[in-house]
Order: sequence, then C-alpha cells, then structure tokens
Amino acid sequence: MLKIGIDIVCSNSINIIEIEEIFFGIEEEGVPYILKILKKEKIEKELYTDNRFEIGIGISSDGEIVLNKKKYLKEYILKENIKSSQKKLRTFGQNAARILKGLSLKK
Amino acid sequence: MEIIAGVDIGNATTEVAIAKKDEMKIEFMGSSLYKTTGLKGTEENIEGIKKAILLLLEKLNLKLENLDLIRINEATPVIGDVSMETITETIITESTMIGHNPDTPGGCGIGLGITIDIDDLQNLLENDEENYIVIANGNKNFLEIAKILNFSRNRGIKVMGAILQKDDGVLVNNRLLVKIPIVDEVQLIEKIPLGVKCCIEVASKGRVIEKISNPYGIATVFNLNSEETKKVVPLSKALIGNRSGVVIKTPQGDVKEKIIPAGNLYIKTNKSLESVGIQEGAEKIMKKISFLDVEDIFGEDGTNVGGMLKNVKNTMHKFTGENIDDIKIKDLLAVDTFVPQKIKGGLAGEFMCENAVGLAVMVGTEKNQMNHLANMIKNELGVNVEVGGVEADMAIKGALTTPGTGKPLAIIDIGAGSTDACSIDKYGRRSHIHLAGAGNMVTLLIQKELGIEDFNLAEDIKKYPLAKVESFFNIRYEDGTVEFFNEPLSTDIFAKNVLVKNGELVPIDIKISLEKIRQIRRESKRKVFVTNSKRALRKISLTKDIRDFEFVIIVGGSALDFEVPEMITESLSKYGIVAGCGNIRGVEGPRNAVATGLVLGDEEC
Repeated sequence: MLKIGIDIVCSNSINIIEIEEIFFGIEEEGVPYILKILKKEKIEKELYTDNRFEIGIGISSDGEIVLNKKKYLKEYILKENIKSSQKKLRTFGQNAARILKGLSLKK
Repeated sequence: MEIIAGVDIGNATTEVAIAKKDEMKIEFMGSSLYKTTGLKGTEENIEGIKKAILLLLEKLNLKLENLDLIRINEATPVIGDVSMETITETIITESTMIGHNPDTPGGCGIGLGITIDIDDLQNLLENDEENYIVIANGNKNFLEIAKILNFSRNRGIKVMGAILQKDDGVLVNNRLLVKIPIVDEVQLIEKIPLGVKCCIEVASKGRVIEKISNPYGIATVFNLNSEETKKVVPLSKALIGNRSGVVIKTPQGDVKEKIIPAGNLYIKTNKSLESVGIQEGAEKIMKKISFLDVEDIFGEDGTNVGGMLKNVKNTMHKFTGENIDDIKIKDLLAVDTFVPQKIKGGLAGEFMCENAVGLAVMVGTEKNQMNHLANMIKNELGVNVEVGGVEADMAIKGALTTPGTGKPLAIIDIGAGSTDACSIDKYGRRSHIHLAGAGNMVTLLIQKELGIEDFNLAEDIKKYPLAKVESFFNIRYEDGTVEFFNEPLSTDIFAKNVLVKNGELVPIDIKISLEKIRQIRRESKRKVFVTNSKRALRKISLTKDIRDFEFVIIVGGSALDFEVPEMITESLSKYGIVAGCGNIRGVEGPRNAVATGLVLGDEEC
C-alpha cells in the first residue's frame, strides 16, 4: 500500500459498523487511514504493517483488534476487542493515531 | 587506641564516620548514612542514629562494644519550615470564559455570535439576521450535530461557531458544508449562559490564539470602552498560549484580579519592631530582613502567614518542651513565585498562574537539648556519648580534609532544611551562620509552580535529569543526548516527559513542556541555593562583602545535586571566588563533613 496513514486490515467476517468508532477516533486526531478487507480468519502482522509508516491495525474474525509497528517485536502495541465499549474503541483509534503522531496516549 | 564514631544528625539524613584514633594518628575506617528519624535534635533521632551506626559497624565487622565514644554534633536544633502564600487571584463574575485547550479543536478562525442551544435552532425563522454560536451537550453525537448545523445553514441561519461537550470537534467539522471554529471537550457546558454574546477562536495547527488573548482584541470583538477593557486584562492573560478559547460576555460582566491581603510579617530587633506585608513581594521582605539584626519574626494574627509561623513554634515547643515564648524565628527566606490557581468563575476548570511568595523559616533553640539527647543515646546504646563542637565548625574541619584545601577557607553546607556557612581565617578564627531555606524549599517551589500534588515527584524532579520519550526505542535527554533501548518502552510513557531515576523512566503526567519543567527546576534552585549561598557568605564576612573569600567549598546533601554546584560556582566566580564541591577525606565527596569533623574533634586543622 502506498497511500499514507494507518492501514486497517480487517477480516471480512467483521461487520464494519461494529468497528467504526476506531475510524472516528483516528479521524478526530486528523490522521488518514486506509481500510482493507480480506477474506481471512487471522490477520497477520505483515498484512497491516507493510506500508509507508510501517504501522497498522489488524482485526481478525474473532474480534481481536491489534495495533502494531513493523519493527516493534512484541506481539502488539495496543490491543482491544470488538466487544469493547464504543468509548474504548474510539480511544483505541485515537491512540493509534497518536502513536503515529508521536503524542502521549489517552486513557 | 580507641574507636570513635562521629554522628551528624541533619534535617534529612544522619551521617556517621568511624575512625581508630590514638595520640599519633587517626585512621578512618568507613562511613554510613541513614534517614533522620523525627525532628532534628529530638529523642526520635535515636532510632536513625542507631541504624546508621549499626549499619557501619556491621560493614566493618565490629560490635557496639568495640565503640569507645560517640560524638554527636552540637546542632542547634532547627526546623526549616516552608509555606506558600498566594497574593493574587483572578475572579470572573458574570462574564465567563473557557480558556480551554483541547487536543483537537475543530476548524479554525474566529466566530462571533449569540449563544444558542442546538435544539433551539429549529425554532428560528429562515434567514434570521443574527449570528449564532451553537452549544451542544454530550447527548448528541457528531453525526446529528453536523446534520443539524448543515440543515440550519441551508435555512439561512448564520452559525458562526460551536461549543461541544464531547471530543468530536474535528468529526463535526469534517462533515460541515461551511467550516466554523469548534471548541470541544468542554465538561461544564451546562453552565454556559444562552442568549449572550460569545466569541470563539481556534488557531491553526502549530499556532496559538491571538485575538481573545489580547485585551484590545476582546475590546474590538465586544465593543468595549477603556474602563471595560481594563477589566478583561486578567481574562485575556489567562488565555495566552492556548490553541483555542471562548469568551462569553454578559451585560453585567466583570473580571478582576484581586490582591489578597496575605498578612504582615513582623520582625523584632533589639531596638524596634518592623513590619512588611507579604503582598509586597519577596524582594522587599528580604531587603528589610537583610538590614536588621533579627531577634524574632512572627506573623499577623488571623492570617495564613501568622498561622504558619505560629505552627512552626508550636512544633518546636512540642518536641523540645521549651517555653513557646523562648522559641524564636531567627531567619526567613522569601522567594517570589507563580502558583497555578483555579480561576474562580471559569467554566472548564481553567487555571492561571497567580503571584505567590514562598517562605522558609528557621527556628533555633538552646544547646541543652543536645546534652539531653546525648544521655538518651548513652542509655540506649551503652556507649559513651559526648556533644562535639558547633556544627558549622565541625563541617569546616571535615571540609579541610578535602585534598587541595587550606586556610583561609569558607564552606557552604546546603542540606534539606537549612543552609549553613562557616569561615576560618589563617589564624583559625571562625564565623558561622544558619540560614533558612535549602533543599526542601526548592522542592516546594517546584511542586507549587508545576501544580503537582505529590511532594515525592517534585523531589525527584529536583534530583534527576529529564528526558522526552521520542519513540518506543529511544529517549532524548534534556541536554540533547539520546539513549537507545533494545526492548520497546512501555506505552504508559510513550511520547511523555520522564525522569531518568537510576535507570528507571518515571512519567511526569502534567501538560507542561520539558523545557518549562527544566526552567522551573533551575530557577527554583537558583532562587534558593544561589541566593542563600551569597547571603550566607555575606553574613559570615567581617566586612559584609562576599569578595572577602577566595576559596569556598560546597558540602552537604544538596551539593550532590547534578546542577547545583555548577550553578553556585558560576555565580560566585563573578566575585572572584574559586568554589567547588568538597571531597571529604578524598573519598566521601561532599557528604560526611560534619561527621568527619566530629571524629577529628580537637585535632588542629
């Protein structure tokens, strides 16, 4: 992917409405994002971190939402679940954007 | 050959030095340090003394029975108490403002209009003549808000700006047909009056508001006369540096900066009783005190300062049993500072830096307390205890063990509660002084100016260098150097200002830049340590001139500070003084001067 921003790669079994608060969180921080839907159960790290900023969000079919960076060797930087409250998902999106912007995270 | 322990009970730490001594020579065996338990010079010190001695004996493979003598310092028990007196406050009545600074306000520019609830927009007639600022509480989501605003715009309603309760400013703005400035995250939105004139300003990214942070800007917006403009000065001051802000003006609006009568200080000398108002500021207070031969200082009854000074005397009375009338405040250090205070009448919990005076006072008591303490220690430990010479004299004796020193010499001993100074001329004549204000005062200034609640965090800010976490793998120190990490850093500290405390990164959770924290830390140290070093040298000089001294050694806990010695050295170099940190016995650094001096005892120095 060549466009700038945060890549969001999502399993096609997820209903987009359920995760839209993440998009709003990213938008509120003024960061562009690119959504890609794949026919996959498990969204591997390589699928969402292979972009210009090497940062992205992967959403697997089991509802696990993970933010990671290509060179960040741990399993994830931030983790959330699709069942979480709207507020938590919004904050997740905001924090994903804030990591890209180099700002401290919101609670 | 006997084994002697010198014990220096300080305000913060108790230091011990142990040496073998015979008529021919003294051989120092080691030293230790433990937190002072209780108020300096009181029975509660015994626990700390015992711990410090036992710690060292264990290290030296010795037992209490091996000790022949303990010599304690004849420390005039002192309390250095510190306090803060706010002398101004900003009160906003009727006229209101939101000096709010959300992370992501929406749009940019200035909007001026009458406040209206978003639900009332539908009641307006098409093409209404008035300009409006819309208020939307947290019940509505951004999609609804954007829809209503777009619909109203299409009906010819002039919406010039919006104030939102939720963090949705950008989301609303992105969905508007015509962009307007939007301030969001306003908690107390229900307090905003409706139907009044209101001005919103949002600056573009990287800039700060210019119109409403300038009194004449507000005057232009609200069409104020010169009298009214004067009244909005504190309001505009409170908005300086914000990226967004709101000013709401009601017909009866009034903003004022009030000078709080913080009370008078009374300085008793052997001839007269002088007074000076706290609200006159530190400079005037210190000027007055420096010209007087202080016998006692007390504060005006019924005021904060009166209460604080009385409290100090009461504490001393409680611990020493001495008659309260015999307890005198011998010195005081006043420092001008700014303290963030909540603005009365603000709408979103705004703070403004108000003028304040920081005070440190020092109380002295009689010598017999130490004899009493010596007896208590003797009973507790079963070792002979004697009271050594005056603390400052002992300190200079210890300081003279620093390689490369000699008489004449002056030392500055900066501890937690007091700054002591002592000089010795080439004939061995000495002069010494105890002054109020040292490490604890600096911590208080840092704590108050940064508006942090935790005293320990302020103490750490004083002691450890700052850094900014730049990525998950590196931090940049305040001096620009960069450190990298193999393991990723925690998200809890990502992009935050941190303290580097013995390798641990401690986040400083306040919205103040690293540069500002550093500036406050350094200024606080300068105000106390540098001011007191000069004050102390002037007091012990026979001619009251700092230039009398050629060499000055800095000792005491605060000399371990990573920037204080350099600050003092630099400021004294202007007077032609060579100043530097002590290195007691060539091994201890600036600590252990008094304990070492006590062991040396009557040895000629």
